[in-house]
Amino acid sequence: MALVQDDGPAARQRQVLETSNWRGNLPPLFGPTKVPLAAPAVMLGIIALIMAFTTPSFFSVGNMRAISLDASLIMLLGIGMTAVITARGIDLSIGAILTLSSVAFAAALKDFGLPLWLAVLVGFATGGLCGLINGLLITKLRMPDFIVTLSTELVFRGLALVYAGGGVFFGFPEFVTWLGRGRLLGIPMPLIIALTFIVAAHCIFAYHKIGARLHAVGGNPIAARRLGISVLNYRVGVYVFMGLIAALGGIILTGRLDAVVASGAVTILLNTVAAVIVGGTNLFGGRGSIIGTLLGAWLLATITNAVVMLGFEAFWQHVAAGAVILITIGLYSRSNSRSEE
Amino acid sequence: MSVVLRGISKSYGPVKAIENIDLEVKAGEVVGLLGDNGAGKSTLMKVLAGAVTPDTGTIEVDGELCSFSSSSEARDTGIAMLYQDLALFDDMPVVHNIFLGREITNRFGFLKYGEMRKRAQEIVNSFSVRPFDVRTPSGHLSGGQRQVSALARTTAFGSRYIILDEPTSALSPSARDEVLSVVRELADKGIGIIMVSHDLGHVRKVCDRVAILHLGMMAGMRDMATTSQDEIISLIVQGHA
Repeated sequence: MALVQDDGPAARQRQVLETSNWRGNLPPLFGPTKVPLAAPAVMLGIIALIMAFTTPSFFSVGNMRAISLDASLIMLLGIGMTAVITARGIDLSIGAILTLSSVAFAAALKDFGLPLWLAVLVGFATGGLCGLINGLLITKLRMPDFIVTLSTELVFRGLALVYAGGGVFFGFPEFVTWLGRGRLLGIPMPLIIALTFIVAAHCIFAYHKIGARLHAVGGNPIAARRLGISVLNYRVGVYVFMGLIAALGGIILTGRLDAVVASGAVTILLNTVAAVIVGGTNLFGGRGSIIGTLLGAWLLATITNAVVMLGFEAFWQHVAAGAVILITIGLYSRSNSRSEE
Repeated sequence: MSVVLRGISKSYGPVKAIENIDLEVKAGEVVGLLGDNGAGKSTLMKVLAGAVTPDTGTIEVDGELCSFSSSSEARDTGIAMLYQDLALFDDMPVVHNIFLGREITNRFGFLKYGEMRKRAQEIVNSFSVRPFDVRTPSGHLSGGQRQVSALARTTAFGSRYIILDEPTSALSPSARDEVLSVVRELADKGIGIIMVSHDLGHVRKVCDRVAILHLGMMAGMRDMATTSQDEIISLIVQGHA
């Protein structure tokens, strides 16, 4: 008994849909969910156009290097934050994790005289442990992400300050400073590291089953659980991943400054979240893009640089960055409301 | 070939949700599960789907005694449930929705997207509804297409018995016809279906038999061909004809 009659056009359409061609069999380039990447790309284009007419030196190799250095740390941290936000979470403690793991790394190296590789391991272990604490508090005690990570931001930063006692670690091995300041084939090392992680993370995020499940966990956790996906493991996992990424960011920053300051990395959280959101990742989970985060980080670094290049006072950087974030999000809202109509 | 429930009871504290329920669903038939609010339909469905463990009673699937401690155990035995909310991921394409949790991957875990897309399209096309591209995000589909996507996911991995919770609620009349048509098609392919519905018209259209619960007890089991609407309503409201 068929209540709906199959007709000729429907049968033809079925045949068309079933006919495979190489384009139809390619996975969506930017991942399983559609993220509006046009907005940050258009904003970047507009800024580049303005700078081309007003300040041609903006495109000098030296200035591009400066922008890439600023963008690379945000890109790197943005990878972790994209994973956390896509899984319907938020981590407000990344600045503190970065600082605490840097202090642990520096202490292992300077105070305890451990070899470099072991000190690096201590730094990563600290970052991972901080992430694990966040993840377990959020999932096991069912506390809100916002409250947990806001509290642990204070705890982790407090611990870093207690240990460092307001002091500064400086004078790190050459390899560490090379990671932060060095170049390979003329390209700054932080950019090479960030881009390597971006490519790897994008492949996992867009083409691997872990990425697909991460989007599912953030998009509809109840449904994901019903399908046998361990929502708890994914949610804890993204916080641990964020912690490890923050630790890596800490080591790179240490190399760049050749110093560890326990009271540093305060503004890094806002820049990272801004880059992720400007890159099109949905703040409420389920939709994210690593490529979007790359664009978002580059856009924010470009704005900051352009303001200085145009001869404005440095304070205008904040105004310009905030305005561009608002415009980009405004463009998203317009395109969303159009598609809903 | 059938799934048989015998003497199923479940209490929540002092409240008896269902008591001593017997029910059989054969392969290839659609059984409507009816009852007023609080009659125990949800509990019975959850017991069969492995989401709730019964206090007493047994479940036999194709002659084998089974006990489920989770939904995935029931699913592995061939029993799947389609919840009223459909449990879809609106931002993700239908192909991902169908394969989530059971993705086709290479040995490194990377998705074999081309293969997944082809299989998903074949599954969707096998239903006699208006065809749609499985690369479309499920949030962009019509109500009927969303139901079909969810049914495609449920049937993609060889489920032999499917529990449908209000599959036609909040659908337009044409979408309802499409979904009911798919339900009948699945039964004709040999799948046993339990369909919970409040709409007697829809139950009459597709069900072979109907089981009526009243205050947690089985009020009656009737063949659709021989019962009347009045009798069904009496069983729902009073517990007897």
